[in-house]
Amino acid sequence: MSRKAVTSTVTQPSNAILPSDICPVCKRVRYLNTDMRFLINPECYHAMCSQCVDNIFKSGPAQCPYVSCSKTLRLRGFREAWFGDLSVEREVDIRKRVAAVFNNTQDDFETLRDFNNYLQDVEDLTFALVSGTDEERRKAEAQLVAYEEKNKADIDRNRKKGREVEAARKKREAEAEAASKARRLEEQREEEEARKEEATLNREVMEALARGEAGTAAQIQERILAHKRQRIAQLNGKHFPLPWTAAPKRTGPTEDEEDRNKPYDPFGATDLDPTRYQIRDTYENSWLDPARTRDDHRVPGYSVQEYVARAMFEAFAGLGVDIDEEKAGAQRAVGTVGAKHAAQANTTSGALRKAGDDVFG
Amino acid sequence: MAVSPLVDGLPNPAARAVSSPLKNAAPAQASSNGTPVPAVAPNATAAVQSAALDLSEQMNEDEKRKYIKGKKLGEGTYANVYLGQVRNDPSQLVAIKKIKINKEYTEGMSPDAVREIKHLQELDHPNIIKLHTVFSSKDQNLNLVLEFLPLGDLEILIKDTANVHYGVADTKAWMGMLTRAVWFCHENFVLHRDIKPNNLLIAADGEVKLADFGLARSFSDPYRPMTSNVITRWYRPPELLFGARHYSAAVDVWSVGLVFAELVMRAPYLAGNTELEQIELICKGVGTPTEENWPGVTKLPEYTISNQITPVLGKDHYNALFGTVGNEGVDLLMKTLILDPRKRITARDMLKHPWWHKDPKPTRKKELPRKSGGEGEEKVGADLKRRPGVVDEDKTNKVARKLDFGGPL
Repeated sequence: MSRKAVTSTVTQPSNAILPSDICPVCKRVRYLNTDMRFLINPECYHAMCSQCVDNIFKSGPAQCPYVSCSKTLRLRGFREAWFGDLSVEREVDIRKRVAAVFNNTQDDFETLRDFNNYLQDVEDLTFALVSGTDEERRKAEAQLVAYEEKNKADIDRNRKKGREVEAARKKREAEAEAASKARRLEEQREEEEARKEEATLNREVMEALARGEAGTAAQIQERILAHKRQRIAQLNGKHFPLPWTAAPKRTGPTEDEEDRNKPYDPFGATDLDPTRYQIRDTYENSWLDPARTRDDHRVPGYSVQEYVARAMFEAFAGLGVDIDEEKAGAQRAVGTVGAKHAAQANTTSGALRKAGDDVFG
Repeated sequence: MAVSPLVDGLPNPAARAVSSPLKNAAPAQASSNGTPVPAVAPNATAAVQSAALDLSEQMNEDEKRKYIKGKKLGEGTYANVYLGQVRNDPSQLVAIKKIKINKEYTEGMSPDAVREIKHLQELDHPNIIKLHTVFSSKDQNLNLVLEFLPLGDLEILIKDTANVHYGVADTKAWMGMLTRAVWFCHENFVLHRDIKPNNLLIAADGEVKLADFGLARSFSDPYRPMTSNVITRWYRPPELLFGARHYSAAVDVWSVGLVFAELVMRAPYLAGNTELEQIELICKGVGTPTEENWPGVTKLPEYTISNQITPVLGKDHYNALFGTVGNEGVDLLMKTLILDPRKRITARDMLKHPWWHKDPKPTRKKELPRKSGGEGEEKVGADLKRRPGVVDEDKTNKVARKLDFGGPL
């Protein structure tokens, strides 16, 4: 907004509606001038055709050709109106100008109440400018100019900040747009691939049938499908579910991904808790008491509980052994109570097992 | 641990007394200890010699024949390690650890070997090296057929800072495997007593396996003393440094904590050159053991601390050094490095710690960083032949290697 507007008060446009066919100044008609454009000047919002503007203002500033208007206009100030209703055009212009000056954001105020009061004041001023009486308008105009003078630095700073925020927002939007576009392309490509795959599959089935391979058509299909199934699963068959795939398709994650997504088990899926007995917290035993209390045991951390656990284990160790079962499974099981028992039953390796058989047999 | 009948598979004392009949196998010779010759020979190759062998010798012979000994992977004072193949399935590789005759123990087997066999044959877990079988070869040499783990050990990964890069997720995966192995040992009443990065071998699929049970023993009965001279010094807990004779599974947990610290720092956290220096380092790097934080500690036989008392270091200290593993990780580390073994976390509780479920998720074993090239094989050879409980000092400083082997029990 030019500073020019500040010095002179803005008047209400006399005819609020932008003319569409006839220029109010030269009375030319659109019928004969198809490229007719109407321009306004924010000094007075009086519309006239671009030819009139050229004729009247080319040689320098001149008075508005409207009879009742005494404003001096310049060629530079003319522009096309955005709104058909020129009073709206004017209000928008005013609001733009006020917003450019009163450009504080909520972050600039300590409380919400302060910010709301500020907004209230700004709106009062704007209203006075837009639809106040001449007196009110002049006063508001003076206020606006005074504020602008006083807070020049703040206004500049806020404007800069606003530009940055705006730029960031634009960038974000552009990125989101690009991503969704890439997604659409990818989907299209996948679909295309699946379609192609389906086509080759069909063709191969037909070729095999034409060659007269052994078996019925259904058997041939089954055979080819067995070869293909792997690849189809990879191609994300959900786009084109093949009607004849009887076997359930793999649509979930691959084995590798499943392995990756498996929750981590710190114990490595091994449970070593005793299954045939429970270990109590304390056992009354006068023989063990000194080991609990004597300094040479207690201080370096000797644990009676560890001893008790071992004694219990050894007492129950033989109970889980079934020689016939052990013979059947000569392989050592991995890391289970069974493995411990197996080791004790002497089934750890083939040749040594013979000795075991002798002992137990 | 129950007495295992598997020991039957080893040469019996009677057979050991004479030299193996295989060396001078005369067809007509009767069995060396007079036992009747079994009527049925287990297989055709053995049948030729069966006439000269008693039952245990024959079984030993069968076991030996299952494997073909290949190239030597490493030679040490304690044992030689060979690459082996299964005769029936040459694609299957094993490592054969041939224990050398020990001058100190001419009358029997070296206790390291006995311990190793005794405990490994009982423990079967994905994170513990598997002992396939045991046989004796000529001259009564003891051969342990172990799982072949070609990818070296954690130590080479930790040390190779130039070529190997790993993150918290990898550390967590390795720690998980180590902790499971230790937990499994403890649940089966076995103290490993030599946990350190170069006893953590890496299998072809990336699985970490706890190896070298040469210092292992089962939990002691009350009133029966154990030696305090176990666990490689850098990983030895304060109660052992103070000469405790009755201790618990907490000793292994301390070592696990220091391996954890080493994985993060990529250098040993407490690397003392002598036991006194080690105590000093613990005082500085963890805190000075005093009556306040460890009631009764002053009564331990070899309790010696310098006058400078450092209070137990707080979370800030650990955060500064190990902050990369996150808040929960630091918490777990601190719990493994509690001075008082009664307050130290157990292996089972370690596995229940929330750290395992925090981000990042542990790396899957096939995606773990590994060392390429043949260095791994060499290293495994070196790891298996090493005497237990010794810091590999000839690598770090050029001082002669100090044997640090605890006496029996």
